[in-house]
Amino acid sequence: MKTNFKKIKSNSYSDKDDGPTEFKRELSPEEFEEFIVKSGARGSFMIYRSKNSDDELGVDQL
Amino acid sequence: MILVQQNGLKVLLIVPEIRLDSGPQYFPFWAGILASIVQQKNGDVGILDLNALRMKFDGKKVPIEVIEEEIAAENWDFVGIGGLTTTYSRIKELAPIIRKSAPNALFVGGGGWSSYNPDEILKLVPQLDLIVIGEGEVTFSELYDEVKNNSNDFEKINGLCIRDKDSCVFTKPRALIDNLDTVPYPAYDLIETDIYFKYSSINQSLESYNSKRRASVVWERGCPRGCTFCSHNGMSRIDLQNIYGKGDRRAGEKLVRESDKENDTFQMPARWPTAQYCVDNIKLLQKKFDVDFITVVDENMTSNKKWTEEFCKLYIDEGLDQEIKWGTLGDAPSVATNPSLVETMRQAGCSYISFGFESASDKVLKEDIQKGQIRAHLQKTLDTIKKSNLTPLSTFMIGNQHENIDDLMETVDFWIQNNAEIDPFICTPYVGSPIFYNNKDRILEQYDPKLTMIRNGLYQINDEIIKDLKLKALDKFMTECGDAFEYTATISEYFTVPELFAIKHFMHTQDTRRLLQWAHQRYDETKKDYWMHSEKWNHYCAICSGKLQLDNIQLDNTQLDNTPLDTIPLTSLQSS
Repeated sequence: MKTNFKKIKSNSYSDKDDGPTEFKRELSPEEFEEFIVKSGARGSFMIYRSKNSDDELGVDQL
Repeated sequence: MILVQQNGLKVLLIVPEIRLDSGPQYFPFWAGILASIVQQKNGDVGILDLNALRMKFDGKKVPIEVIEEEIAAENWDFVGIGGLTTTYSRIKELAPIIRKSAPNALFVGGGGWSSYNPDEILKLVPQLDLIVIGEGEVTFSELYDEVKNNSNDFEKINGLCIRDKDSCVFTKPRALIDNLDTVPYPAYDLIETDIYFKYSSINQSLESYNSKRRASVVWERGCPRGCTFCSHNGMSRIDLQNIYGKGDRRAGEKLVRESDKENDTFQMPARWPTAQYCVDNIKLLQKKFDVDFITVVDENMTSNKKWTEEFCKLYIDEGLDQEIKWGTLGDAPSVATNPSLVETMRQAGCSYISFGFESASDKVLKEDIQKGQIRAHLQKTLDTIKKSNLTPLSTFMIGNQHENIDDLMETVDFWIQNNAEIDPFICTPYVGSPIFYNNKDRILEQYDPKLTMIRNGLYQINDEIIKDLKLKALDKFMTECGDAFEYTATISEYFTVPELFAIKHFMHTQDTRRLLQWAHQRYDETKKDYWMHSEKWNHYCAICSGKLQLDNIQLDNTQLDNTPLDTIPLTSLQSS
């Protein structure tokens, strides 16, 4: 817990590890697209198979 | 005699765990803002952010004994707990621990989990003293003063539902804040920013995935759209109308509008602080934490073209566009009618806009969703987003009230046409949404079949017992409410929960052959029209296209039987 006053007692869990100390490697645009395609489309994400998508879409078609 | 406390109060704000399947993604804005208000009043304040601290416990819920020890270590005057509807079960579990560990504190609930049906929440969570309804900053501030002055006359404070023995008292409606620039920035020093930065990466766009110090902000209150599945306060104030009208929304609306008039605060349902306030907020985050990405968790930025253009211009003028990329939410009608806005946003550093497309069936969009969008809006928006090289993100949902097999095919056809892979949500009637109020009895009956038997007149049971059964059913429903990946109650007129799960799977895999094969089977079994698909989908349907092929072959055979051999084209003979 974070407070704006001095606490009587320190947190018993303050020394516990809270996750990765190193960040994930940065991805290139191509790697990101591959990652997204592989990760599925759970719930919210519209994922485009990129190969042909530009050929299939176009504002002019509307 | 009233004893006024000389020092400020000691206030604890508790943030429950949420979305345990991923790391903590968004700062707890409400707790940060209320902590700022306490600091302005020279009070002591602590934020126990269980959603961040769970990462010290392998991402699982923080152990009860740890929470108990944390709370009991101080003598709190005021404890507030808040969260989305989906935190209800955890808050209910924590409430007795909090009450025991802070026996002298005023124990207050607020936020989505308790705002929409505070009278029922007070019955279901008996440890709470009162609930702040809707927008909480001013109500909280007045409550703080009242506790500090030790007068505890809460009934004079607007926007509360107060426990009164076995019942509760509603105070007058709280007017919305007319100038959101008066809302203080969250007390960032009390937020577990180090933990949040460790879970900075989110896969909304390349920039958000690669970010190392992503912060999140919320500025907008409400949304100009009236989606029937949405429970967010401020959207149409349907929650307040329902509460004060005791179920009669028209009566409630009168009261709420009268309150607006009295307070001279009648206003659009969606409100923003000035663009300057928001850019200053980001500059503060840059200065304090050197952030590299901002998630603007507003409901619908694109719906306000004027504000968005002002914000983007200022963002560029301040030189933030190259240093801090950002992403947000928008809606299709506003982008489809103002596609240039997307380019404006992209130039200001926006890397993604997430849209709630919901369905590609015009019938469902119009009758069920009521967002004010049609399929053509979705297509235009999608094309615009792709042309601008932003990541196209969108949500869809199935199980809408009047959605039949043709409507589902419209949606999956949209995905196929656009080469998109989607796993849709299942429509969940969250408490506070119009679809909840419109279907409440149906929803509760799914949690207690006795209610159906009583409705059907099989039993004569007194009203008090029925009320109790309904409350217990509501408790079960709210306990189960999650992020709409899983099932709860359905409001579909046509499909059961197991059917929706199968449909969801077939749609996700775009297995239209099995989906329509099954639809034929169900139609043959039930003779229900909602299983019968139109000819429009014959090309996706193995049964219909197969039948057509066989019809043609048979026709050819008939022709063969009646036609002199030397007049039949060779190709026809080969295909036969």
